[in-house]
Amino acid sequence: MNRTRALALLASAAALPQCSTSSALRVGSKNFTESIVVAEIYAQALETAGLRVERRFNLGSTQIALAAMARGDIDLYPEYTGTALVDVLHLAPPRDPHAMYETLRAEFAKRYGLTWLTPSPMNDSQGLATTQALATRLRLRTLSQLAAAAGSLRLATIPEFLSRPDGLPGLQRRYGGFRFASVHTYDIALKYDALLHDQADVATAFTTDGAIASDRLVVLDDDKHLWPPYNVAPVVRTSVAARDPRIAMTLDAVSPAITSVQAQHMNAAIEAARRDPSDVATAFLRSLSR
Amino acid sequence: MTYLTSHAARVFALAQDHALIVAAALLVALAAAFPLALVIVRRPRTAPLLLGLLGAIYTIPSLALLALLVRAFGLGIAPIFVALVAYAQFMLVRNIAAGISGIDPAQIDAAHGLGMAARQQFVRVELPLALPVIVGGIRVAAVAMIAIATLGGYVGGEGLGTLIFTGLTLHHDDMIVAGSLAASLLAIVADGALRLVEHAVRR
Amino acid sequence: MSRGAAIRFELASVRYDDTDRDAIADVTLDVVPGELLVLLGPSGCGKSTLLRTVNRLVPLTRGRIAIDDTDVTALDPVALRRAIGYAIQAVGLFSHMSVAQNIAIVPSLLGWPRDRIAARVDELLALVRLEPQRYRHRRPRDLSGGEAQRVGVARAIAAQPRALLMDEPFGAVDAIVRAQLQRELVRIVRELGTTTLFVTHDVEEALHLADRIVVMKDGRLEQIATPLQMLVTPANAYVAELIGAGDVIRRLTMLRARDAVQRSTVAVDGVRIDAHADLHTVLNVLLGGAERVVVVEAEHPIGTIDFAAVRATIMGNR
Repeated sequence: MNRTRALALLASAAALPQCSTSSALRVGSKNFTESIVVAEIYAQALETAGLRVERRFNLGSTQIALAAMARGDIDLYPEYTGTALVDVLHLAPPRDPHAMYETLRAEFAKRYGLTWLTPSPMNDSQGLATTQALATRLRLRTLSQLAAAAGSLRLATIPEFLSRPDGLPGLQRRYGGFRFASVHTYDIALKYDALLHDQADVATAFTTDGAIASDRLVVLDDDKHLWPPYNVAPVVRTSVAARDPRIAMTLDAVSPAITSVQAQHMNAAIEAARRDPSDVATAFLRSLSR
Repeated sequence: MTYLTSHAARVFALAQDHALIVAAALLVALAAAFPLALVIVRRPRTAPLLLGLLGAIYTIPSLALLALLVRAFGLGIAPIFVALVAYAQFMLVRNIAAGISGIDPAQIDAAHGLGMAARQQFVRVELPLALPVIVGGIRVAAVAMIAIATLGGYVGGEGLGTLIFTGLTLHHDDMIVAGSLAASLLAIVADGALRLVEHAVRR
Repeated sequence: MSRGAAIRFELASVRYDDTDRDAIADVTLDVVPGELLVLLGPSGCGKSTLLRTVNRLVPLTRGRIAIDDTDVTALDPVALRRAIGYAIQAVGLFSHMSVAQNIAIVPSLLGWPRDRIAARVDELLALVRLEPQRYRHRRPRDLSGGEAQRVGVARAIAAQPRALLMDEPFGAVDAIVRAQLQRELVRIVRELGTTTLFVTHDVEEALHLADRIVVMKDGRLEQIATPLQMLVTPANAYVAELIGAGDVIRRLTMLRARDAVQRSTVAVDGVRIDAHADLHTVLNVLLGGAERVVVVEAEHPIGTIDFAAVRATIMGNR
């Protein structure tokens, strides 16, 4: 979708009469930078469209965010297609990404009363990262190579990774090997620190993480295609979306503009350059109208 | 330090929220603690059981209790509010009971013998005399609650804890520092103010 | 004319829960209006318990108590206590209130108007010899033991009760202050005519203060009599031992010159002694070298006293 069409949709969304209820829309996010900045983008776009928004960011892991949706503590949050399929619905990813998305829409609507809006092109895939130095020394470029070498390496990861079907168990099934010498779990914000301070050799990565943009880390290639796409999209309670069409209109206009490059750029701006997520989101939205 | 200076208004607003949550929880905690304390004063034999129970709650690690409460109340202010009220009980009940029991028995006997009805005796003699110890307990509870309330940031609550936990997520150390510093300052101010009150009622 | 209440005990008994002995047993006693009745006995004899049955701080297990012919159980206990003065050894002044507020407590509970209370506080402070200006606004912690007791007495009589209960009020002060306070108390209750029940274990105090003494032992009355009667005719060996009846010299302060005087209109020389002086004073003069003293009543000599007369009077042979 090109910029002009996006703008047109945004404008028309703002022009719609106020047919929502007077209570605020509660936007949540998971507990990592990218989730927060994408949620902030959603929130600001909706506010521009005239809605009242309440932010409930940094809630926790996928399970906690979904529980909050189920309880009605939040109305909308950014979720990833791959995560939703494998980790929530416990289905195997189909070859065709489009079919995958349709499956998600149908199942989430049926099982949870939740609606998936238009996804973004950005792909925040899972991955394994190591230092440039180690990759060079052990001649590691792909996950197949890492699978064999894992026996002498230390892994730093988050608790979710150890139990998700598309986490370590999935890697072991698809590639074989991947029996690390030691495995330590950390808070999601700290996992790269272990790598950078030589307390681990390999760390769970997310491909749009700000830290990866640096030269020191390298993400290994998923040569056997274990991981499906992880596109971010707004997930909203169906009843809430039905009450106010501006929600879908606004976010469908914005989502297509969030690319992998944009995502990585924003993550780095927040974590490395210490910028405020709110400022970064505003700058992103402003760039859409140029 | 930079976040503190660049976002002073936000930090101040969060500190106000933090103080309000603690103050509200303290009031509710007091309302619950008073009757419990009176039970102990009237029937001293219940003291080991009651204080033992409240003390046991107090020793539950805050994060663990919070996790349990999130199951029941969901995210937001509710679980941290309940946690604060629960933790405060031990300190408050113990001090209120000690304050009332520690009153000079001669003054109680005199009040009784001179013709004060039970309620008058409580309001005119027992309560004023117990006040210094009670306020001391409130002071200790308030300071502890200000610290514990920062955990609210972990469960989607409000207050200075959000600065700390968001700072952790975003790798913004100065946010963490700002949140921690503000919480410490708040605790110092609360302690100081209540010490003044304690001093004033000590006659 | 006495303004004091009459208090009657009829077979009054108290047994506390989970004890097997009566704290007081079958006490029957008529307290004369306006008298200062001292309850005397060792600790555990029941004297404090008996005192506290009057204002219903301790409930009777059996028997009855009547004040001015009204059974105390027929009255509201709180109203009863406000009409009876109460002073204890530890005083129990309310430490968060001033002296004036302490004294004013019962009048304020009774709803007296503010200026009447203020006037009464000053009046009472003067009565217990504490200068109102200096003491009104003091705190109890700034008072000496004796001063605190005076305030305690003032507080007890503030609402003009017709009966006053005192439980060893002077036990915690030193001997000199105690003697002072005893004299003042006698003066005050005589002036006001208040019926006073006074508990003590101090025999000397009892002999000094009492119109009548009640000796108690193990919850029972052993004897009720005036100090002199008790000294001269103790009811049993226990009372005799307690009161020191064998020590006849104690009687000296309880007898007056007029009790011992050998009346005569013959003019004689000698040291003049007022008829109201006690025999202690008379004996001092006699021991000083005089053969006899001349007793004077309203300026007129009425007779003389010599050693033989003193002896005879003390030994009750007159």
